[in-house]
Amino acid sequence: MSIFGLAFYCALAGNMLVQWGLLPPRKDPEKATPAFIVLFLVASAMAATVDGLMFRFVLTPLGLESLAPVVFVIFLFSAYFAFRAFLSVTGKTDRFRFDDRSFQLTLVLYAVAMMAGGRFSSIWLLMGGGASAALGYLAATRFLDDIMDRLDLEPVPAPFRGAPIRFISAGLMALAFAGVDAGFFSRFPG
Amino acid sequence: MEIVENSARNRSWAALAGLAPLLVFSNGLSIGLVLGVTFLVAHSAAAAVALLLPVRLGRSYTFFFSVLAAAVTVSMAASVVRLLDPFLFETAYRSMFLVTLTIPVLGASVMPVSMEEREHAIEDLVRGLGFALAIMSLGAVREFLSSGIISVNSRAPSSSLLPFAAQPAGAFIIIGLVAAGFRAIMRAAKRSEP
Amino acid sequence: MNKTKFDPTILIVIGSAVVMIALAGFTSAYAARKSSHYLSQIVDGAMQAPVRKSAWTTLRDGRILGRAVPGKGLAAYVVVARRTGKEYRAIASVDADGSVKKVYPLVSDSDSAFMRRLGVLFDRISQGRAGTDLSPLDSAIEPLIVDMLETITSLERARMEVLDGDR
Repeated sequence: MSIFGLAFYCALAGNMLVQWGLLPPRKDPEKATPAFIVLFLVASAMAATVDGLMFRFVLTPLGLESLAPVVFVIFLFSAYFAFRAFLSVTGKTDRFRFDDRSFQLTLVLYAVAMMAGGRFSSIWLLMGGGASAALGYLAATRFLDDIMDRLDLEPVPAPFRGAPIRFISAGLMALAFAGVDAGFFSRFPG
Repeated sequence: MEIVENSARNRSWAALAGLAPLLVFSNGLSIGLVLGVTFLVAHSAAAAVALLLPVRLGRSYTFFFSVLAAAVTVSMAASVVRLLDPFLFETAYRSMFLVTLTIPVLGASVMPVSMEEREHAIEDLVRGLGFALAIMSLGAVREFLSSGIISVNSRAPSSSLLPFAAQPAGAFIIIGLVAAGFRAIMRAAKRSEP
Repeated sequence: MNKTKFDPTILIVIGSAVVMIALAGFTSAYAARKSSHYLSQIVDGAMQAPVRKSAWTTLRDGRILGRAVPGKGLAAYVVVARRTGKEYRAIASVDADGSVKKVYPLVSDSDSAFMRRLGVLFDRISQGRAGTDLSPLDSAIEPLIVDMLETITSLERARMEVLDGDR
């Protein structure tokens, strides 16, 4: 698969939000800054590479595939504690919060790592796949938020307001993306 | 670090959204059972470790060990599934691994601070059981809608009824409709109260 | 002098975590061994050659789950294709240059038109046969089958190169 095909596939047909159900718990009041987007893409690319290589070349030959979540948790927390130590050295405060948004981003990182790791074996494709999948997720989240903003102006029946209409909107998005998959992307392997 | 308190209602809806990946993957009874049981053991292990570890260990380390406990239980559940049916393991292992970092499991891994939160820990465990049942029942409903039958043996002969229900889009729309129906019933019940 | 008392709690917690991870590792390795045994038996049974006593290797490369190599005879690859909860499984025996010699279907969800057609086309294309019946699904399924066949060929050729290198 070419890098362009990969990017389009991960952003549309294989979109993490709709294909893996990674629905954000609620609309994020803060818009993602460019610095956050870059940091998230880098983290996703790294997570996909480490997890993919570890699973394919270490855990699978040893028959330790089931240990994959343990390995990822240890890797993730090692990176977090190292980052926290770096922040304390530079005199900055730790901004990690035990809230749904942080949890959702952690979940997306793992999902992206597994999606890329399950499809690709070369380092470049793993990195590219991880970053594209993360970008596709952020874009789809933004689309969904825009749809919800538009729906706020419509007379949605009371029982459907909030979470139900959010799920149904995500479902219609998933349907559209599935159509893109059937129309164009079934030719991509994996 | 900062703890963000949510209202109980918002937390329930957020938990439903947090469960969405498992609900989307649960498109049959057998995979629903696997994911439901895996979720239950991971959620219970995370909540139990977060509750039992001494407070002096600190919030970050307690969180780490609780998530690690969830990961270890998910790993063992995956191994058991592999022993029972290697093909089912190949179908389900990614979604099983994802259970470790779902929002409800991560939420259960946060150390309860106040006495009140500790007293509510049992409620968390019961909530985990409810979530597990939701995952299993959605799997059964989607299998019935998509193939016209419900069977643990996924190879049972069936006829195509509404194949759309087995797709992620079907999962989202079914969850949305069920949630709206549930809300409408609750509203009607409230209105009928004297 | 202010002496801080050593708290062994963290060591106990780390020790318990290490023991649990080791236990999970042993369980995983045991399950992998049992799974390999089961899959090689499935392949040998389907090819009706219990004397093959194949050795199983898990590959998970695209839609190729793994390979069963007997002491003597043709290697076989297990193919698993999934789509929205439906599955098609088959065994493809290959010759030394990676061409598929024969396809042994294991499981196909017959209620799915996609999987039914996938089975028909996999058997037909891998044997190089032409068919008269056509389906609108063919244009979507054929690239998947070509990809599966190419993956099998490249995996088998890579294995043979390693074997030749060892000789």
